[in-house]
Amino acid sequence: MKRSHMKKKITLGECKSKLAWLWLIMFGIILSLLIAQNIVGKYYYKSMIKDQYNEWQVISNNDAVQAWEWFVPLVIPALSLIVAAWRFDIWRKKTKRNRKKAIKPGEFRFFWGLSFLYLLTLSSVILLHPFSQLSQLELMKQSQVWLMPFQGVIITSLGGFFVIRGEIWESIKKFLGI
Amino acid sequence: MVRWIAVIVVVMVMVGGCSRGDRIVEDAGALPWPPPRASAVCNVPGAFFQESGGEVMLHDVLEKIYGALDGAGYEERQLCSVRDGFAVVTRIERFRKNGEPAEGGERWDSKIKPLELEINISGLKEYGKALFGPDVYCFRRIVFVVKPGQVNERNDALGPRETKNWVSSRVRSARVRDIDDIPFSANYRCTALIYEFEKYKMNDQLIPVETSHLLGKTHLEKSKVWKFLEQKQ
Repeated sequence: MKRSHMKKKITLGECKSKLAWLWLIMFGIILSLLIAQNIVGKYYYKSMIKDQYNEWQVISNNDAVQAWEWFVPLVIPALSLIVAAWRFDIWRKKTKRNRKKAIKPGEFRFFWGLSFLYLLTLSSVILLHPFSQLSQLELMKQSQVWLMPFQGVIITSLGGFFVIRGEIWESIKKFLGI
Repeated sequence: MVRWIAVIVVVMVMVGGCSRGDRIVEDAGALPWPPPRASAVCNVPGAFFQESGGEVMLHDVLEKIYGALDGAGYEERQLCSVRDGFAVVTRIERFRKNGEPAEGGERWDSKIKPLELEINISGLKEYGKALFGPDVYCFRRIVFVVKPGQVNERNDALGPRETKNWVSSRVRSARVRDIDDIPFSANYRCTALIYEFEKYKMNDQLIPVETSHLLGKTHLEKSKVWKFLEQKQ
């Protein structure tokens, strides 16, 4: 009974690696979608404005930059944190012992599930927009309202988790003599 | 007193103007004249209106156009007066890139509706287009002008305000008078002007298309108007 319980445990290194791969794969998928949309001309549209001679002119616009402005701040901060924590452990030999440290499977499932839910919500803004009355950019702007705090929760909880379970916490404990 | 004289003068000028311009058709309609530059033009062959027996009158031409429009589903149209002739303006409709009218209620709805979930091959195709392609929808209005000689269009296209006014103007029924007396002689022509518009989900503005990607005849063929015009009664 005790052995099977031990088997279920996951190391901190595995947890970081699995989380990093989840983020990298989803990042790749969303990035590909945005690049494909850019190439095909999703953000291209025409509008009419009056020129200097007070005559109406049809002008072409491309708001692809706004789509990238939406995507980058919603992915890069959390992705950087996770990938950096993962690579930092591998690069630093000192942390080898730390990587082998076992963590509760429930903790890993919670962070993996939270990350997956966030990335799924993020990609649904792009994938489900054809069924929305709003344009892609309008939907992106509106989604920022709930995606930003969501990402904040992920960064804070994951950051806290890595600190508590990682080397830094050990140093703090040693320093405080706990 | 001066005010009354002014009112009488204005009424006289209005009545005089109308009686000159609207010799044939009672309803002046909302057609801007000379018409703005069309996206596509098609000269409808006069032979389509030639029946086996007797002289063809303008009234017969109008009936033939009405019949063709009825057959193609354009039950709402507007009759406008043109000097020595008339014009029939169809209601604005949404059409597909290949020229065929949009299906169902979408055809007459100028508002853009989101895609409906359809789990089949065509549904996936539509989804792919909506996901990656620009959110652009095509609209058109067909104007049949019957008058002597060519239709001289304006050099400029419709501006947004004019487009909005023209597009939102309700299609009214008009009473026709005096058309019976005018023969559809050799110098009379029937010209179809196709006004194409694009609407982007991004800004919801109706943008007039300078040159349609389809020929005027293709617009008439795909909308089935040509088929019904061709048919002999």
